[in-house]
Amino acid sequence: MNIFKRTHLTVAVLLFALSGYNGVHANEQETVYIQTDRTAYVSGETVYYKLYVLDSESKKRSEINKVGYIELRAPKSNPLLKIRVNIIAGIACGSFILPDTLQSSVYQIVAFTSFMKNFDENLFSHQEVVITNRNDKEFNFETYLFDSKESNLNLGTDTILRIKTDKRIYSGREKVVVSLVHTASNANVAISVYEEPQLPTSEITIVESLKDLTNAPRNQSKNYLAENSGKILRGRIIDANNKQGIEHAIVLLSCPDTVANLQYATSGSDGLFMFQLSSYYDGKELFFTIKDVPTDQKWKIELEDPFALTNKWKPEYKSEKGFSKEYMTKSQDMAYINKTYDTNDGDAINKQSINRPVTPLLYRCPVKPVYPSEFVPLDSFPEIAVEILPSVRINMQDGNYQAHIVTRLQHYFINSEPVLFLDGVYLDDINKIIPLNSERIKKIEVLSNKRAFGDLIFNGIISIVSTSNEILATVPAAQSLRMRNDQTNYGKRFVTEDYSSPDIVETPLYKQLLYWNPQVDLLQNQQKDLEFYTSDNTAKFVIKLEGIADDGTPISARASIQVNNLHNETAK
Amino acid sequence: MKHLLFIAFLLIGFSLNAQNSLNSTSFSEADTLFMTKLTGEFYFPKPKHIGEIFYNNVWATSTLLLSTGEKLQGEKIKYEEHLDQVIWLNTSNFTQFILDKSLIDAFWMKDNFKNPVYFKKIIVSDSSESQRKELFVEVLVEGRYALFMHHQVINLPDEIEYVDHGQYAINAYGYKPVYYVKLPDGRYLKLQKLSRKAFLNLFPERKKYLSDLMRAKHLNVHTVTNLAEAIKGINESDF
Repeated sequence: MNIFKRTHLTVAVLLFALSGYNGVHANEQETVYIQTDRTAYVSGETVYYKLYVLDSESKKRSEINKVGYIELRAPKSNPLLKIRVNIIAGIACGSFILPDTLQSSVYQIVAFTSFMKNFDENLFSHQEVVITNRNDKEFNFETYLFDSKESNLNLGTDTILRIKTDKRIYSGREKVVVSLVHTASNANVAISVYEEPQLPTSEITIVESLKDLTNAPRNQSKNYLAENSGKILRGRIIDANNKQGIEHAIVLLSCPDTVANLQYATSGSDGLFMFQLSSYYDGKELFFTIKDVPTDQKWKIELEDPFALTNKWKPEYKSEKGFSKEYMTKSQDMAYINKTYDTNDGDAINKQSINRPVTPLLYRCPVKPVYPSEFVPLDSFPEIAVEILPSVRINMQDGNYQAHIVTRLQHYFINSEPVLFLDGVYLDDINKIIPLNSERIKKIEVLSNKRAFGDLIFNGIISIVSTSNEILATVPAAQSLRMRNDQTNYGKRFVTEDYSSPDIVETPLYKQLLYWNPQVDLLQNQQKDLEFYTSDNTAKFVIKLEGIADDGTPISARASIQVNNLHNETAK
Repeated sequence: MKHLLFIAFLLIGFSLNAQNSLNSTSFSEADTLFMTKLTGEFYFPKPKHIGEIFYNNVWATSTLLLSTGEKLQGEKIKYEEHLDQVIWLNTSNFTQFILDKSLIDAFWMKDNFKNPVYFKKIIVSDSSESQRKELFVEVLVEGRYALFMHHQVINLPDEIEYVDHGQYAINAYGYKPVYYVKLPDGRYLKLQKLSRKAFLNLFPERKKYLSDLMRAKHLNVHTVTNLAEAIKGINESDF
């Protein structure tokens, strides 16, 4: 009886312990917040951003996802700019340049993680910005305007976070010292000092954004995995005739390289497949193909756009008041001056990869390559096979070419069909290599033995590397697909220069953004001093500070300074 | 009361498990789904021969440390001592493959007596050979001075077997382990014979010190365990 009771208790404790162990991720849901350096820009200017990825409950930095997505969209339109960023310890900082061609309008910057797609899109971070086209003189904004509301931003008088400047009014090209003190706990904040825009804004602070966050129900039909080691690309294999998903089909992925590389995925019940793309694939041309499609079937690959959003953005019409044409013209002029003088506005950020780029090699054994250039010139691949590749045969059957390789078995050899790779890419059609002659082929590697690649078995491999990336000139077969992978955005780091230095004293300096620092670590009760310089721009500047304290408390505060450039005034 | 407590524990346990099953699957799935694939060449089992060529007779469930830094668990492997290769049983098609050596950095499994063993790949260069070679060695001692055992199986002269009035040559293999002592500077010293003299000859300049140490610890280096104790003794001393 005692033993029975003890067993009961042990089982219960074990179950509890088990649940506790898994509970690390229990109800894990994240939220993001995107902070930009300003809310008004001119097309062609740089947008500096900081993306916070937080646990929606504790508001502490989340470690679930290492990939974030930021997009810029206009009302009722598809994304105009798509940016993928690496999230390190719940934070991503960088910049992107606004296209010169953007029309003057209100735009929305949306930030999210792939894992958040399992929940409602309303949980994504949305930040509205006004962008003026550099050449626009009409400023036709009336269609979409914000409700100009009084912001309840902390004005720097809070006892928890104090912003103090050494002066209230500065002259042009003068040093400004901003002192920050956070009394509650240590915190990580971003600070921007920018000209107060004479435009209506619907600016939402981090405090407002993270207020009243409730756990949204998960959409069970979606199964977006956490991208904790790199971008996950999703797609479907469908029957081209009836659009039905094909189950248990194998999709192969490879990209141009000097070595044969491969990844494969098996489709699920609805034809869904996924590939994890490490930084190895950044900016590369990706070649997808379906393996062994039945001859009487027509299957095709459809890829999912990770930036695709279900809900279109429809800003509400609120007010026509508040747009200052004078402010916008001034912004355009400054952008023009800065462009003309090519004013330095940032240094490249050191690329920090979230994972070591590992080439997904098809084979990792030593192979002696054959260089056709070392032999007499031969006119086509079948000739090369006959003359210098003793284990390879290219035959023609019913008007179609076929490759055969002599594969060794236990006591004898058989002719079997190898897989072909051209410039590292799995080849979906042998005809693509038939015309390659000795001049166009750099090297050939032949593995005649049966080989394993995960659960796939290949009866020999022929890998051809061309002299001029011939694979890029090929057209994908019906069961294949080719696309260019995007690149991780790193952007630039804002640089603060001493504008009073004699080197640049002759250069006109008109800055609407005086300072941006996305990574300011504040220690509890310790003063942090930041220095920067004013420019020739006479205006009122906002010092805006946002961030997260170590205990998960969102922080937002702001103050202002006035810059009066006396030189400008005299000139006027 | 105890029953109530039990039910409460049970219910909390189940509810917590149910809540997070989907999420925890998502995280672990992403880890395992996109692991580097094992690559290798088809393995032809050796024809009838004399002598043992496998370290483990039965397929062992292993943990493989790949050169990509990933750890792959649960794969069935055998260590083939004659080829110095890891043989992988692909359970999805029950085919045996010799894993590409450059892919495997280390592996953990259980030996024939169910004892856990740890092998790692080292690169050694013999004085007699100009080329460096990669070897899988069993890790016996780790530390400033490390001790590795290479389970070497060598070819012996063929043996003749008479079957149905016919003579057949049968391959024969013999076990000849080699020991490697890794020095703090990364060099390897090779020990081919287990004896006190051979061991002391590895460190000609510190023979006296080592001899005293072995005497104090009652070691004669006639067995592997004894050799391992000697290396541990060196690590504990200021040798």
